[in-house]
Amino acid sequence: MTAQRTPDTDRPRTLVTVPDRAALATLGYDERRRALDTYVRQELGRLLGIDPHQVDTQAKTMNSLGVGSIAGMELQYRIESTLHVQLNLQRVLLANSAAELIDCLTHQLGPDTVNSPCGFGESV
Amino acid sequence: MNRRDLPARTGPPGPGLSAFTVSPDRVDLWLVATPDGPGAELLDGSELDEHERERATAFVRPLDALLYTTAHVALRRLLSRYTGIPARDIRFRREPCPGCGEPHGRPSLSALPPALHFSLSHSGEMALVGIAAVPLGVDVEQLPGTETVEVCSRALHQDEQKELAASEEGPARGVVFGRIWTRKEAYLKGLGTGLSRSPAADYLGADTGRHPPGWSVIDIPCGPGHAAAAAVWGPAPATIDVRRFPEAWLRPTDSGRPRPDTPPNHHEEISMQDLLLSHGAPARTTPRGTR
Repeated sequence: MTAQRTPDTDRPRTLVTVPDRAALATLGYDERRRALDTYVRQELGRLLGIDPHQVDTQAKTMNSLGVGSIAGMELQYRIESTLHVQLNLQRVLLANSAAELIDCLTHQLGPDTVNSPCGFGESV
Repeated sequence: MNRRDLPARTGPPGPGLSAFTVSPDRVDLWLVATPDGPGAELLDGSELDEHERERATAFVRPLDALLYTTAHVALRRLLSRYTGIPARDIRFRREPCPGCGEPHGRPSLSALPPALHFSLSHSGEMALVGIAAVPLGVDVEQLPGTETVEVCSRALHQDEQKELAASEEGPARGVVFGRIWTRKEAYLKGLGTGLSRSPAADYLGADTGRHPPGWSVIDIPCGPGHAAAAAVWGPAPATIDVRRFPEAWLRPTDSGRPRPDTPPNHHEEISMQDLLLSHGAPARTTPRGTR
């Protein structure tokens, strides 16, 4: 049997639980990061048709995970609309790992952070 | 431009027209399908460099790794034929991005042959290589589903969004989105900025007269489930060669199977209805290929 790529329209539906932004701001950094790690894994799992637990957030680039331009755009917009943050598409696509995105969101959604585009290390 | 005016050549290449050469008035586009079954097992990645091999093994999904390897083997073997440089000796570099200066601009060859430009794209089960004497960008995308189109449509130019919204819902809208997006990304790759430039900044919709000046944009028929386009700097090329890269050319060259020494000698008629040229005088097109 030959492996077939699953068309985008047929990808399995991964349950995504969106964390509450206000609640995130009340959490300590580590707990906030864990919550966002879970959320980003779910979003990536949904996009890529894989189990969230299979998403390697540390050692795999976004490209290696399978995030191309359209998937990157979808990820960007889903996160922006659910968490009310701003992301830079180019930075999402070129990220060395999903952890970079998670770290940026953790910082952005803390209690004392001013909203600005999540630039993965750019000054905010 | 009236697409029906574009003649389709389905006979053998004319006298003096040679494959694997770069010509100022021609663009060569090579469609590469990922091999399956025994073909996938025979895929020869031995000519890839260390960076490419690392990237190939880093993919989480095996099909992504197969597609990446297929695309890069095809690219190296094609460039080898066009340049005379052995496939394993080809060295790539990135030009500075015109937008930010970072080294993620257009790819080019470290050993610069006179006036050869190329672009590579891969998605789903398809790769596309474009080769020309002028800067160009190509893009191929697996067609997105309804939900993805709905989420991503906001990235488009406002007039593209209107065109998309006016299209038939369902898979047909995915085709429209794919067409717009591949033109857009091909253009941005040709420009050298990639997606560091906002996708909403430039119009690449149905009105070809409003496309970015100085660029010719071509929709490329590439089979079911995918959309593809090329953007070429300058006036519309007189000839657009669209060929299918034979699977046999992906295999080890010491297996007795042919190297890519000669162009595909079978001809496949590719519908002219799907070829769009912007800013062009009427062009001859030579759809050729083999399976």
